[in-house]
Amino acid sequence: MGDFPIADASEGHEDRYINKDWVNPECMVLWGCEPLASNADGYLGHWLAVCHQMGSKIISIDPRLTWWGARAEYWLQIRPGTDAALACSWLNLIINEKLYDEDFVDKWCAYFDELAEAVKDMTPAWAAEITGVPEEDIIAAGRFFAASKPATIQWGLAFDQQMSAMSLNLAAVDLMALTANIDQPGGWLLVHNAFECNGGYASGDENIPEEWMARKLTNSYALGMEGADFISHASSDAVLKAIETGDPYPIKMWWCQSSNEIACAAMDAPRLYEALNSIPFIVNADPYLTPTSVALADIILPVAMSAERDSARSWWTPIRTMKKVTDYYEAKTDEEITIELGKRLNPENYRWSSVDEMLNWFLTPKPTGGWATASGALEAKGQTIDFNMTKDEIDQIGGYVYDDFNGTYQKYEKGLLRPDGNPGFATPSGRIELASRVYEVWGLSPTPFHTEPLQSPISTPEAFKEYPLILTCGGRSYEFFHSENRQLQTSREFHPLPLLTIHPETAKKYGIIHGEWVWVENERGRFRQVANVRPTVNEVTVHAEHAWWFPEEEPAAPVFFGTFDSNVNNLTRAFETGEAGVGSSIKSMICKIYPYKDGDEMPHEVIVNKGGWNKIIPGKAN
Amino acid sequence: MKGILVNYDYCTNCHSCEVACKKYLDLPVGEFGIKVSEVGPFQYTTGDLKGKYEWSFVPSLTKACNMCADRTEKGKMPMCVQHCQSWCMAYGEIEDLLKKIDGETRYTLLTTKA
Ligand code: SF4
Ligand code: SF4
Repeated sequence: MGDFPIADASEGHEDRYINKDWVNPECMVLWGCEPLASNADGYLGHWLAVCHQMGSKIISIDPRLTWWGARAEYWLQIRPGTDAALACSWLNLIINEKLYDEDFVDKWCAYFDELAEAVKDMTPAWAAEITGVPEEDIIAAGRFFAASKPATIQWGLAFDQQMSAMSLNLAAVDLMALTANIDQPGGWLLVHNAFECNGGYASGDENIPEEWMARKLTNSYALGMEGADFISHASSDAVLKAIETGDPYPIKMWWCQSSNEIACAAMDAPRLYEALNSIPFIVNADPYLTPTSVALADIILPVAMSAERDSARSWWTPIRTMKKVTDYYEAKTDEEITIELGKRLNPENYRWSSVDEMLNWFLTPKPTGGWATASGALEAKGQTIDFNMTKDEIDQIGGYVYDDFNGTYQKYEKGLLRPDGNPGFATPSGRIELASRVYEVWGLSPTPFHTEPLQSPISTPEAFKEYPLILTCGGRSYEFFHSENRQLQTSREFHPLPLLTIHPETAKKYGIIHGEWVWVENERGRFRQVANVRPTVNEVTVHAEHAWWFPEEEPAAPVFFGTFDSNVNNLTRAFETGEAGVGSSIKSMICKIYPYKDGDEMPHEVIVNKGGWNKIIPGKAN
Repeated sequence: MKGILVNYDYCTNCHSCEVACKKYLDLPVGEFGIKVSEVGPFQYTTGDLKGKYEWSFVPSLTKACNMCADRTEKGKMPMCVQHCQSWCMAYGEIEDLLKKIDGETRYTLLTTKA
């Protein structure tokens, strides 16, 4: 399309809410998202709270009642993992009732008929069956969204954590395109990394020799899956497969920096723990000693904290720098560690002699072609991106600079999005492709569709008899960021223990008392959290927190700060993913719950001392 | 007399005011200068509000609050107001603050013993 779409809460303008070009969204769809606590990619959810204060109306699409849902015109309490069905039915509604912006679709979109054909049977009635949201609510909210000018969608991680992840993302783009809300004030802002200092994600693919690229651990290797590997990093399933099977080559070393994977990111944490244990040499770089450090590391590198660090960030706008004010002991910053290691591994690609030099290089506009298009568009007009400041200069003026590009609307009319400098969007056709040709190149369906979660009342009705609750997880809280901040006294004062949210009727049914420990179990294993009995989830759904560990508990084996005892990833699976290796079922599992009793065997005993609950078939789903 | 006006329809329970104040007054675990109370969540079952949710957060000042005298005399905002993520708090003369109450949203006025 051109660049990255984010909900426009005026963040592209230095003067923010008083900017004369900006319009407050009439309607904000908070979709699979609680942005107050989650702050995705530097996006502060309180910006949207200010929009609401200025009059924006809310649609909340969420299995949980959140601050937004309680203030919404419409709260659609959706069954976890079925958002694509709802999105497709809104497309169906908007097309059938001709609620789309005919002029915008005519001038700036392509393949309308193909989209209309693809969603023609996906009616609100059909979606009501799947999502559990009443048909009349789907219709009323869909009409309200379509009639609001401008309207925006703030999408959350739930978009990526369902089986039809890529499809759902496409559906949301189609909804915003049909209603002419893309690249409009108060709709979706199309942004790039400020000044294209970090065009696209600048992952450096172009520096990797072809023969190394050929040995990349890909999804097609791990999962036998069709679809181009369009993501720069290796597939995590493929890495696991290589560790477990030694094929196509054994993994002999593991470098883990600012990641606490057995507490947080690992799908099937017990399995990853066992796999990583077989790697001969593991380095862990982190500001704190974590469960991952204790359980796995041969060498621990202490990483400097933010006050000890010179750094810069461009995601998305303004470009920001931070200045070191102190340092302690031998800790080094991520930047220092990266340069020192890079110089030893590949001096040609790490030519900077100091962090300053690297940051000044980082702060230089670097058109990379392909993804980054603003520079291309300017080049076509004989211009370049006008930004030339050093880290020091930016520090001096307060540490940030706004990029006008990110505060400019209707860039598609101004010829700012395409490398050829012509009006239009950066797609092959120059229009927003409602049926995406790029998706086809990646081996994906060009139109949106719904896929059931792998385990659900619909896909596995027999298993649902034994595990009669839907388990969703990963909702954030103010106190923590993923596995971070568990050692901060004030964070723990406000949020001492992991909470499992249970509806009062469900708690009564299973003999569970608010504030007491409860087990959550599926056929893979179990974990315990503290019952938080409140009607913010429905009677068939429970919500678990993720990434817990307890710095106050025993660090040594087998306890590892208690991280396995409350870990929802005792229940998740590796080698399970949606189209093209994107998406998963982890926010839509099934489970049973029952009270914890003193003396119950703790998960760390089973995982660390007894080899876990599950027999592993190396390199395969189990 | 000075006070803090809270447009509490927009308080998100983000705890920023509570934490900022605790650090400013150097209060130990369990003690607060400002504390947010929760009302709800519940759903109305009758009347015009039937089906609507109530889930509100309302800050109160404790006896420990000194209205950030050393800050406000230098023209700075109180720590809690400065850190409010929702911009739903305002500090000032209570007569001026009262004029902001417009009947559009729900406000509460916080004061301390003189
Ligand atoms: S005015 Fe100052 S002392 Fe009083 S609650 Fe706010 S931060 Fe605490
Ligand atoms: S800082 Fe503001 S929004 Fe946050 S809890 Fe306090 S009053 Fe509420």
